[in-house]
Amino acid sequence: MKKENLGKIIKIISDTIGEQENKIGINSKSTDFFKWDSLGQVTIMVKIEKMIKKKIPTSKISELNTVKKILDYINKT
Amino acid sequence: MLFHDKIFLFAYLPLVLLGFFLLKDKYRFIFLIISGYIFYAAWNLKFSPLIIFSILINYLFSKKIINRDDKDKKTILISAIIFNILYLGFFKYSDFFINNINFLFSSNIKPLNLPFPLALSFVTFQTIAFLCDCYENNIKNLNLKRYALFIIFFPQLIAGPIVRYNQMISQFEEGKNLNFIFKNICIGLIILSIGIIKKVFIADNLSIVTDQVFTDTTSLSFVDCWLGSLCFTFQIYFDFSGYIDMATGIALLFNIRLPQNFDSPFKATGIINFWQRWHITLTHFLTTYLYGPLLKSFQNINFFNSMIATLIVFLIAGLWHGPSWTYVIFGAMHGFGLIVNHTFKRIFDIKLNQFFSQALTFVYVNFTFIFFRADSVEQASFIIKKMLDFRSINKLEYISINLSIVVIMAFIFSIIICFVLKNTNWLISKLSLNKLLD
Repeated sequence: MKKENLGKIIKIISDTIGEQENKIGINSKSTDFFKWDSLGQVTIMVKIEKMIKKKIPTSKISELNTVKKILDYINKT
Repeated sequence: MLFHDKIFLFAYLPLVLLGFFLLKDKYRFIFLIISGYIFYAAWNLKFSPLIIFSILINYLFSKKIINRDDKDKKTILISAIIFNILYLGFFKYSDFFINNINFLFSSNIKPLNLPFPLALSFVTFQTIAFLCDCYENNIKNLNLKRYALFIIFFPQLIAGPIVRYNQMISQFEEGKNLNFIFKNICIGLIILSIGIIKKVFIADNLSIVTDQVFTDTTSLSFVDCWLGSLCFTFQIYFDFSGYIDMATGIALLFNIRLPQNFDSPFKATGIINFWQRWHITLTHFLTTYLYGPLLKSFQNINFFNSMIATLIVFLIAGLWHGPSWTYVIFGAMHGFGLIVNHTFKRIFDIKLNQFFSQALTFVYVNFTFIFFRADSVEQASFIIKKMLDFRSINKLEYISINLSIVVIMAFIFSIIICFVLKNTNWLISKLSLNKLLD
């Protein structure tokens, strides 16, 4: 389940910022990619919400800015 | 009453400061609320109850939202947001709406000529963010006194920055923040002074050129138009960032740290970067509370739809700045700039030369601000046309506007401050670490 979620997260980030999937890993963070900006961050969060079918609190939107943080959040909810 | 008015600086502010530190802890909030109301009422006593009405209604809405845990919770949130938009819309956009109806249908509806209540634009956005926080159960320890203080705290009441409830109330209630902190007083006064200098010595002097160019366009030359537009771009930055510096400095006197709202925006290397540096709290509000929900409403979330959402958000943001088509075009130009910037970033995986991208961004932003300042779309178009008429470039000597030495100095200082020097926030961090002020 965790591995499956990781793959989905990487695909969402890759689609949103237009970066190749093999360049994104568990340790990737927004600052690693100049294309992962604040708008990209909100777009990723909206896509993650659709994936988990649950609303992400506004206060978490800018916090979840690494693949690991997103994965941990999904696995907790 | 403005922050740089003598009555504010030498009567209101010292009295409020004195009262705040002399009063017992339990009376301080009430004292700040009353002070905030007096500050607001100094604008227009007759219309000052409007802010009280907004506070009371939104407090009731927030209590309803917090106390519910069913599907009605969302209905109450939506009703509350609609109420706030209509409340702002009635005062700010009624005449804009009527004038457009009259133009489209050749009707003759009389404008209402309502005065626009001070601060309502900022209070509306701040309140919407607060109501969303209530909906997400993020608000702790809410009561009327805390909520009223959050809205009416006078340093950020009129023009932001847009602050969050928890971020503010936690600072007000922090035990050490109730003490007289010498370091904060020193830093606060320095930042307040910088804000006054930005406003009085730079923005107000640049406005002399701007007013000449944007008042009578008939005899303007190529150089006049470029000078006028550049002066306005610098003027609005020094006006607004000067105001924010004054607000930040004043809040610091009360041991309150306001969020950063500007980060050397003219050093931006693209429109995306510009909005990460210009009016930062507004950008955060727009992306979180407007762009996100709008994007969610699309069936497919793809790049094309995200760009459509961006354009819509900036059209709304443009209109939020003022009830005129010039502001809508200002928003549209920024939306368009963001789309081009995002598309470029997506297609080409390259970073342009920093100087080139900085210059390109500044020139583009300068063109957008012409619509922000112009009285009409026609006037803005006329000025832009003149600026692009490079055939008249050989008439460089032809400057019809009056330029005093003070204005020239203000212009030179603008360039140095905007493109070379570090910003106020950097100074605050440096001063905070300075042991001499402890």
